[in-house]
Amino acid sequence: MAYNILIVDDSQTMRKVILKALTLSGFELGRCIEAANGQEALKALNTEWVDLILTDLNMPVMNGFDLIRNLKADENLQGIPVILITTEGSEVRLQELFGLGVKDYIQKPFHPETLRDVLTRVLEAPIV
Amino acid sequence: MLHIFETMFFILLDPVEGMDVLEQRNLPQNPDRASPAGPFLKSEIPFEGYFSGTLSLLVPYSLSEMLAQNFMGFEEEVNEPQILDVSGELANMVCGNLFSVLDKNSVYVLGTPATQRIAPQAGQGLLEAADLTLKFMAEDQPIILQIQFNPKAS
Repeated sequence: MAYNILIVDDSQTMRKVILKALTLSGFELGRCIEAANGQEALKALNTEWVDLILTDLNMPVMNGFDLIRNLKADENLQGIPVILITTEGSEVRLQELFGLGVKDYIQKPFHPETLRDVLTRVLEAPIV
Repeated sequence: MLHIFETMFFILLDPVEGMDVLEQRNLPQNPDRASPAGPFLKSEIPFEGYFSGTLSLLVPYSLSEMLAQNFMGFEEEVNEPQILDVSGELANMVCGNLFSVLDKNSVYVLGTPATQRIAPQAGQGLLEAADLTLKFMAEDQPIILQIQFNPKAS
């Protein structure tokens, strides 16, 4: 199965690094869509179906918190698993985000292998 | 901070104590780098929480270029916007990880990093006064981390 993945981060270079890590992960990738903030992400989701969302938290225009709240409030989008890729390390904030339904998180900086392992766990898919 | 540079930038960082790494003779001598655009990149990121303030990271431009190259992949060519973006993302990671280590139980909100080129003026230092200044060396070049806290409201 080829996974369509939405990458949300205000840093264009970080999006490229995540995309590269995904490509090297061994997962079969379909479309990888990029968004620079939560607002762009929601706009993309109006026309694209994705199997997974990787998102940062601190972003201008619409941050990751508001993106996640919007996803969970939309019955068409609430089933899409969300993984955070963030510098956030506050236990309080992370627990709040898990309470909103976030599946897992990866703290920056990260090794590509970490991304692969978390994807395996969340998508429950074997690596080809 | 060391693990950030090693994990995503593949560079070893050495903390430095007791020396002024920004004495004029230590600045890059390449005239193309020295003027007019300035030999350093300064990335600033505001933070708010129990403590609020600004974290700044000063990195020589040539080293910033190398960091961007390493970050994006050795086979990639990097341009100026990407170098600035990577510098800001580096400051973001340093700031986020700093508070993760220092105070995991509090919430700190990080702002958007801003990066600019700066050049030393004759007779003036690059560094502004700050509550905390930490110095490192990487690839024989200096990296300066500064934190300036906002006064707490009385």
